Amino acid sequence: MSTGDKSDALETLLARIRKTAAARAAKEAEARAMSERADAAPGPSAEQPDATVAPPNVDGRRADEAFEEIRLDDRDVQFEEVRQAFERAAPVAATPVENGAPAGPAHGADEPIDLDLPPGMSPNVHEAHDVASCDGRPELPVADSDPEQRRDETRPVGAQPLSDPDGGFDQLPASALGGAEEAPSATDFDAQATTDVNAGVDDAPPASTRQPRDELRDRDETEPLVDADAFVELVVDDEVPPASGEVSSQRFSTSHGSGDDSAVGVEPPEPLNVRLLPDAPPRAAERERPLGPMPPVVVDVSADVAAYRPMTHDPAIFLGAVRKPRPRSFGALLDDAMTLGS
Amino acid sequence: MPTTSHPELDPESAITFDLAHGLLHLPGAPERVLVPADALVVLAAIAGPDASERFGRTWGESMGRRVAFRFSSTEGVERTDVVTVVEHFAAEIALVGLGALGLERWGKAVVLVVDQSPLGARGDTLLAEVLAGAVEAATLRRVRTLLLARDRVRARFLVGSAAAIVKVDRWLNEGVTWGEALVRLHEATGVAEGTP
Repeated sequence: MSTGDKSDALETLLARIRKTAAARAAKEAEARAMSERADAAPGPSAEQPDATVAPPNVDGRRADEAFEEIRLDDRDVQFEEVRQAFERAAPVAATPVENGAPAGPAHGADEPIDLDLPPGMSPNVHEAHDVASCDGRPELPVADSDPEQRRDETRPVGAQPLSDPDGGFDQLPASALGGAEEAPSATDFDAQATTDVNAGVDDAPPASTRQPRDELRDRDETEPLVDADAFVELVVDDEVPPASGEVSSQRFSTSHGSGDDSAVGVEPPEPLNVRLLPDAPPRAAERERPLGPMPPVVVDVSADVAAYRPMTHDPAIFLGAVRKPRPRSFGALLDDAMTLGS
Repeated sequence: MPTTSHPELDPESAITFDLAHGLLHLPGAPERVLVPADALVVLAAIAGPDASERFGRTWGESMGRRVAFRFSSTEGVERTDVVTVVEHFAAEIALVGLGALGLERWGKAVVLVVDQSPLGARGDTLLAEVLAGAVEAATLRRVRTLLLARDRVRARFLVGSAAAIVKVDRWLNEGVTWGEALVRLHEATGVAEGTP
């Protein structure tokens, strides 16, 4: 490719970049205006803090959703164009010197190309290429050299700042940056929160599934009846109002232990150092005392005897076991009987 | 010498019911009347001890006379053995319906035993006078009787002299058992030990 061809390609690229940037600026202004109108609209009443108010629609879609698509499309176009331009310009750098003039582009391959970019666009194409070639992921267009400003401008309009100022953009998972093949880590709170923020209100449940809470009811009748303690805990958890007024902002990722912790900056647990200690040996039994002189045993040799006293009275009355010969006649019997008592 | 021959007791035709004349006959005895036992007891109770004693003795003397008649005389009864005499006395008591008569010897004491007397405990006094009258009439001895004890349907009557009956009656009233009273009776007489 000759130098003229490369210049034409750069001119074409710059023209398309300017066109794309202008279109994006116009869309951003339109989206910002719509967002401001949405903010100016009456919000949820204080009596219904959990109610989610859908933003005004733009062409049948919400403003945040439309803006997100615009931004992503723009980013993809820019990346593809930059990559193609760089591929076209790269062989020039390897071209030998022709006619005493150094080969390659007019500014050299390593020199940044002075492009007339709209404010907020990074002219360092080589840097974007390096980032994209390192991790294989497309790189978002950067605003300028200020990292804080870059982070703020990469967020969609209306999104809240990240909770961790040190993390943020550099620790965003690939899916949040446009890579759909990598799933976000479930254990990274900031990453998930950022994903939710970037996703806007796409994941917000429909308004019909989340009805305003009826304060007159003591419990949710759709919940199954459980024991009293568990029900109290459920009620207590349900009583916490959302901080930002949106339910989606209260969603947190749930760790299932299967995600890649290293990708989100969570250090794996150190292996447990288990040491097996044997039990202490039992105490030795006391030795029997040696036999020695025993103390004299006092024995009472006199037994305690309870003796009966001798009986002096007759225990019974005996008439006498004498058998006398029967009287010879009834007269003799009467004679003996008549002698008694005389 | 005691006679070895004694009249046999023939219970057949011992009592004759003359239904044509409405009479009840016992051989060798005046007319008889069948009287309910309860009515007799009530009569004895109302008449008092003296009247009951006289009534009983009269009733018993008739029995004794018939026994003596069978033995031909009172000497015949005296010479007859105890068992035969007791059988005749028992037959007389049974014919009038006053129970079953027996005899016990406790030392020298003679005790008549009457079982199943229809007069019951209330008629023991009357029964005692009947027994005494029978023995007096059969032997021509002055004897007295005393109720020693009554064990349900069995009543024991002591036969003895008047002095002995008085002592035993006093001891019984003092709470002495009838056996102890008999012992005392022998001790008082001096024949309890060593006397055959």
